[in-house]
Amino acid sequence: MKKASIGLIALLLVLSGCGNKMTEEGSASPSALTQTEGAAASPASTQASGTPEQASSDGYVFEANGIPIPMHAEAAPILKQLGKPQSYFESQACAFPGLNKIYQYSSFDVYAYEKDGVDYIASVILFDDTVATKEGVTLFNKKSDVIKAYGDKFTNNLNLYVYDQGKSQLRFVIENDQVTSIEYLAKI
Amino acid sequence: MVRKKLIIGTVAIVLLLGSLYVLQRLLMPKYVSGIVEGSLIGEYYKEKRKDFDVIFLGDCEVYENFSPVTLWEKYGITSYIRGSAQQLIWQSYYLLEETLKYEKPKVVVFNVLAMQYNEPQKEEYNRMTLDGMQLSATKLKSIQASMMNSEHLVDYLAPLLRFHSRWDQLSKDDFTNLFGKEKLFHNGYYMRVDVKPAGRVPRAPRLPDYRFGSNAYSYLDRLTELCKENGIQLVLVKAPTIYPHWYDEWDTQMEQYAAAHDLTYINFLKHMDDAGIDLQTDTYDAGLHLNVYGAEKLAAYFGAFLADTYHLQDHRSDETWSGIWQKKIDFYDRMKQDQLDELAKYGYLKRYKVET
Repeated sequence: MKKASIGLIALLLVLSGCGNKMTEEGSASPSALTQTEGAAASPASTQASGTPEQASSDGYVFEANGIPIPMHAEAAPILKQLGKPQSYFESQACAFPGLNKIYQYSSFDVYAYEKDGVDYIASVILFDDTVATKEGVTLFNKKSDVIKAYGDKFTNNLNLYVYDQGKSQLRFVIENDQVTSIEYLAKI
Repeated sequence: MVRKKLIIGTVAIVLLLGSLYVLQRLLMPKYVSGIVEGSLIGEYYKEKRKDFDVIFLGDCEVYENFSPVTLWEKYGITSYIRGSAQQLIWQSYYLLEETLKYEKPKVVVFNVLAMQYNEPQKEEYNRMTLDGMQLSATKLKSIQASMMNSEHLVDYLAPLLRFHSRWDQLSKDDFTNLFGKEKLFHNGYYMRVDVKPAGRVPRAPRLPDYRFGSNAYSYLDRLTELCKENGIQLVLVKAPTIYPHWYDEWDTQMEQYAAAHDLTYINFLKHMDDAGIDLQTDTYDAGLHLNVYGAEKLAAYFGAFLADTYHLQDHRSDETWSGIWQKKIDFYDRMKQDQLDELAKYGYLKRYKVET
């Protein structure tokens, strides 16, 4: 009996001292950008930051009318500068707290994720060729234009071309030698 | 002397295992308030009578959008929703495999939104589906199919290993629900009475590839085959919710699949007017999910199709079933009124969901 008690205590000590912390939701590191079912279809939702990352100056930064939008940056000051969006949409992840917020401007959408009551930039998606990346690439450019601007160090899967820099990604969908989607993405 | 030692040793081992069992039950998330969806799968086993006419499989697009109570009240159809948050298609397949050990439904309804996922997505969602299943070979197969690279089978078999560090997050719920949980759902349906009208949904970004993945298709094939082997009619559906975006290219693939396999596919997004669904009043989160009013309308509309097409028997004259369902209706009505009272008092559902 004594041995069993010692064994039990030892086991409890071992268990309480190892492994990842499990939250109420069962997450080792609760996602701030937990999406609803299906939202992962959106390129933005491929981001799944555990905690807000420091907005990194060495990451890709989209600029709209001279207003820089770094990934993982606090959203409020940026949104204030951008002005009133054409529309706003928010969604709560199935079964998990925290809102995903989408601000639609005429040529791009800004996605934000919420962490501890503060919104951070999760993604920016460009929707027409009146806006360009900082390096000058727009929708409907050719693949060679992308490589000229960003080099050939990308990862490619089917039509998706991904450039990594710091805590961000720049993702191009290129179909029939034409850029059909551009997305800035905050990554873990 | 030897016998005495043997008895003491046996008692010690029983006490040790018993303590570990209790500890595990204490530390596992209970999902009885706030994030309640983790309790969906486990409630099925408490059903005393499991010979349902219709089994729904899928993610939130089934467990929040179809009201089994309405199917009963209007058509005498008995149904159960075996769905959970972000339930992946292989999890739905194995849940059906498991369900068939208890019953053989006449119709299985599978919501196809899950086709977009070709690989495991997130441990938190896996847990909510898999931890609710009773231990069986089927559960093991589902775990194997669902695990992320960072997950381990042993953590599912002995959840204490995964949840042991929750000791400093324990709440009253963990103690009051140690050996049993209150009923939260209505044959797998998750009720919400609140209303948040749908507005403009975000533009759908272009995808690099619109084709569903081979793994997803493989499980859809297996689901189709499993139903055929058991003489079950499989109906593919897409729930009438407008976000996340359901691409035309995805819709075409499901139409083609259904045609090739002699299945029925219903995209309810195309039948919203016929069903009388108004996303100004029938959704609680701006079009992602229906509220109870929408779920009742959808069930009323779909129920007519199910009853007519598959000649499902109206069980309302069956005394045993009627008795069982009357209790379910009473619980359903109580919860609906309770939620309405909360909504009136606080402006949101305090007990049923965190403030939004």
